[in-house]
Amino acid sequence: MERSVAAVLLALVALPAPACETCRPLVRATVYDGRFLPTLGLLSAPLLVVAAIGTFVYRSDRFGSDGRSA
Amino acid sequence: MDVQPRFGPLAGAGIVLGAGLGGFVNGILLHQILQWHNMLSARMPPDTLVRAKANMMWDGYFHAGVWTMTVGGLALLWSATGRADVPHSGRTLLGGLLAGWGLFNLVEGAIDHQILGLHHVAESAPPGAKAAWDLGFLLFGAALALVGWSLALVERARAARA
Repeated sequence: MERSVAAVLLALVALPAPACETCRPLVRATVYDGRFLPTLGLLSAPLLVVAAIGTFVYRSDRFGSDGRSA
Repeated sequence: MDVQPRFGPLAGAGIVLGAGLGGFVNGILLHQILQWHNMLSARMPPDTLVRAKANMMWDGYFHAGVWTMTVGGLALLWSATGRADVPHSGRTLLGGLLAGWGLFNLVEGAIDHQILGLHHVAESAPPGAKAAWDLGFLLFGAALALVGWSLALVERARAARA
């Protein structure tokens, strides 16, 4: 029993690493191309819009207890 | 001298925090567990190992962004805590959280799904169903934002009457 478990473990350890060393350079080339920064900007846009709304509400004097300026 | 209570700091902190946490719901549930879409899956379908991993990397940037929002929301919440003019109101915070989650869905759905077409909610659904899921995502966001904002307004009105 112990030998079979050890054999299975050994087989698992002997498997090729799943990190895909051969495709890693291709992945990086796909992501970090000339469109990286514009794409990052597009992805950030919704977050920036909501952050701006939240900060506006945080600082707004119009959200006092009676809705008027505090 | 009475200090007029201000609900804005708590509601604003809730909005930013709710948007960050709502972004995590999107990323964890729709990207990772259900695997309905990835960040750029409409432009770069994950049909090869390289493309799937590239989408995964973009999902990582998305998660980094919503993590930053969450930290920003915590910082705002911390700065609002303990202020004499900011009531300790759980309903206002909850309202802000729901409104933030809803706003995130609305803005992300409008920009990423409708305007830019970076991805769709259910990428592998038939075209009609794909549009319906995108619309449902927007409606869910609008409902969350309405419920959350109403909760915060009701709490403010209740405090004004007290």
